[in-house]
Amino acid sequence: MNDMKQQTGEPGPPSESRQEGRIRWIAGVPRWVKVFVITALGFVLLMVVAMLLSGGRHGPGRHFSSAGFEAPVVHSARAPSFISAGDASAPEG
Amino acid sequence: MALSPALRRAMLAAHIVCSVGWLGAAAAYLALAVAAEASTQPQVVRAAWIGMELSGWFVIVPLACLAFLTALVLSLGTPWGLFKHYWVVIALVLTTLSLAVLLLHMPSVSTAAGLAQTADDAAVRRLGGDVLHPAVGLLVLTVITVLNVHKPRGLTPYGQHKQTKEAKDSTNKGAPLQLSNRVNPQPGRRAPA
Repeated sequence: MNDMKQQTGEPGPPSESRQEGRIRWIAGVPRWVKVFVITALGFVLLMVVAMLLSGGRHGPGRHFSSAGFEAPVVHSARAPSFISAGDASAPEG
Repeated sequence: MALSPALRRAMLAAHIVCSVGWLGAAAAYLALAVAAEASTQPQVVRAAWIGMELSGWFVIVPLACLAFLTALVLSLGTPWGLFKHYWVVIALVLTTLSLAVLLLHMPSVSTAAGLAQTADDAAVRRLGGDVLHPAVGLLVLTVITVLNVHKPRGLTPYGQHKQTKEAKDSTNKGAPLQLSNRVNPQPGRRAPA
């Protein structure tokens, strides 16, 4: 009780509680930032739901696998990109 | 750390060229991706994927890296700062995310482009396109461009702290308070020279 009195009795930033500080900080954020963040979160949520509904095959983890795409079977030892196509067509030996 | 006016203008021109170039290249990539997705002709799908790989590695990635670097230099070399204004912070976060997704995604594009060249016609038709990434990327880049042009008001807590500190410093030194306005260039909504 005494502590509470001390906390509320001293005005100013050093004595304000964490919750008060958080409320003050949120109140200080411009409205356009709040709208922007809420819209962005809604968009991300929408993307996640769409991803899950489509079977959950796409996501950041896909890019860490060796072959990102569900590649069709290729009857070739190499699957060169256009950048390395010259090497693939070069005669061996 | 402040840039000279001439250097700042040169850096700003470079940043605009790279950023708008990134946007245009992403739009061209999207056109190829839609062609690959919509077409039933294997030749079209093959050509589209080759074009997507080339434009991705040789146009989009360099422009994105340069846009990111010039943005960093401009932020740190002018009174705008990197973390003082909400719009700069949001633009920085979106640019960093876009660049990270781009760099993570491009190896997959190379893999698909390689397959498009070597797989048989039926497999190439199943390859489809890559519409989602450039479409979302274009949206994000458009948002960043709008933020950069509009420069909406709003100082972060860090920016407020810096502004208060600079105002106190200038008051202690006997300098006019107008100096603090240079730290927060909001009224003009333009980067100060």
